[in-house]
Amino acid sequence: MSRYWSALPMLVMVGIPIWTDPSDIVIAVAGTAAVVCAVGLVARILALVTAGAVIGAIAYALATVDSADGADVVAATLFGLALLALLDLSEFVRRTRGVAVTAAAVRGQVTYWLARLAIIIAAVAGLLLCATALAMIIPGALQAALAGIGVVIAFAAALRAGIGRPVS
Amino acid sequence: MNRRPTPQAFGLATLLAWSLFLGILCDRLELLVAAIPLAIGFLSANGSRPLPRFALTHTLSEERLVEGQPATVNLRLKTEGAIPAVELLSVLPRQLFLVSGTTRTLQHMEAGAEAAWSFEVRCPTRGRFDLGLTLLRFWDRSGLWVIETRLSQSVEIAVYPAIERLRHVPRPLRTHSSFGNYLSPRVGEGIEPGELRPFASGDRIRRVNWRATARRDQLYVTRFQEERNADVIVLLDTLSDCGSSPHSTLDVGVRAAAALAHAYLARKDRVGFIEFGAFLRWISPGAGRRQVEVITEALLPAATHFSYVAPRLDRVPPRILPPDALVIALSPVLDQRFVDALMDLLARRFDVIVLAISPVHATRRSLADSAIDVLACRIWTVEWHAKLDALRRRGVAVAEWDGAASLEATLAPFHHRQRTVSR
Repeated sequence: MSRYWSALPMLVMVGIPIWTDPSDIVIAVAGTAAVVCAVGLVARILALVTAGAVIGAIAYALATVDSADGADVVAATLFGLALLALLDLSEFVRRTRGVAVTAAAVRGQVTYWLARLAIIIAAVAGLLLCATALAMIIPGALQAALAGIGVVIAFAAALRAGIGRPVS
Repeated sequence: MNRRPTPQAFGLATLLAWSLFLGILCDRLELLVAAIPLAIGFLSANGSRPLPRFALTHTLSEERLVEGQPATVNLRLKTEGAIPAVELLSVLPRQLFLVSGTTRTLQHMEAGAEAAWSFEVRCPTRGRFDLGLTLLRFWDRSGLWVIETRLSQSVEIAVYPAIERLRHVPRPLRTHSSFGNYLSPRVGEGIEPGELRPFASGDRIRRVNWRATARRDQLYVTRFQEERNADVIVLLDTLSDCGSSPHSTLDVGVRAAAALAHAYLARKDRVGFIEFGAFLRWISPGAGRRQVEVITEALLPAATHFSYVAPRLDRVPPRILPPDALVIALSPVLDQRFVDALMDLLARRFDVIVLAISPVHATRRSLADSAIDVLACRIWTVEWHAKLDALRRRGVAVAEWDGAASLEATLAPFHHRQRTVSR
């Protein structure tokens, strides 16, 4: 698999903040993110790709803060998917460099990614529906507290599932 | 077996943390929504997946090769459980070169499935090499977890030196008492007529030379020269080595030693081998096809080992270094300890021929053609020739060889030498 495939999510990651708010500061930060990511992809250094993605997230945060529009959930989901795909593709390309990859292995990996994409879209939709329903039930002061607790629990659960000690 | 999260897992954790942090800091929903795919990416990791039972088998197209000959390595992986992605790296020894195929592959294995692949290797230099080490990485589909393990099996490949066929070899000055191919000056039983003498009581009638008898009016009998064999000892200097494999002086010396041993054994001589290096290693003289194998096997591990010790040939037992043996010494003539050993052999009246393998030629092969290198090599050649001339003046028979010319032609001056009566 060519490393140029990784450029596609990188373009999405850079494009969404600029599309959200095409101000000079956002373009500058997103451009920096693109350069850092591109260097990471060419040199096959995951740390640089991650750094570029973090700068991209900062650009997106700046864009959303500056933007007067309401929350664009579709763009946000696309941005998150682009970050995930960027890491997945760049790392897959890096670790299969110089390796004879069988067609079955590539097919299996692409199938996995597509299945995960479907789960993510369903999860985003489900979570947004739940959030809307809860917003109508819970009074305003408790919403922020609940959101904060939810964030901490989500992060802890993700870490536990992702890099926690495995059950042997 | 080593199970660990990959750098991608840490990268994803960093991104997730930043997204959540920025979302809370900016109080914007978008960044929290953007964190959902990242969190699900994390949740999809399966770090507790047990390693399925698997079996990896290696097969070689040839287990015994000659230098430069290619061999195909076939690998077959069989697994009992499903493996999302397994990366295999067959570790090649430094001396082997990959000709075709790949030593690294990424496979997806269904339960009970079997995967096979092959690659071709070539080894330009002699030795014994193990191809049985395989590194395996079992990747989780998410790429966030990996299990690393290594499998070491005994898959040995033996690469023998390429041998130049020699029709003529230096003739030993002294013959042995056993039957062989050399005409001994001694008369007795044989097929080669030697001399005439008057008939004596007890001579067989079939030995009477009727032509001489008719000419001299007296019975004459023909005496025949005996055909005898000789002991030949191949002395290989492993104290020093110049140049890079497979054209180093030691590699060239090993090829010459194998060629000489084959040629002398084909002439029914007894051939022995002594490795003169940091330690002495020897093969006692013997004849026959088995000895060809024994000496070739003994030549495979020949290598230089640094040592301050000066090996002494007078400690070698006479059955290994017989007093009437022809000693053919193969050396780049760089180490004074080897020169001293030659002088010791000469002082003990051994029949010694030194095949001096040019270290300059071997080194030139691995150098650039810069003016300074050419000049340095010319100076070195002059110095080396001076060293060889000093040996010649002390009575050592020296043949100079660059490794590229024909060995038979190089040794041609020693093919016919003066013979002496066998002991």
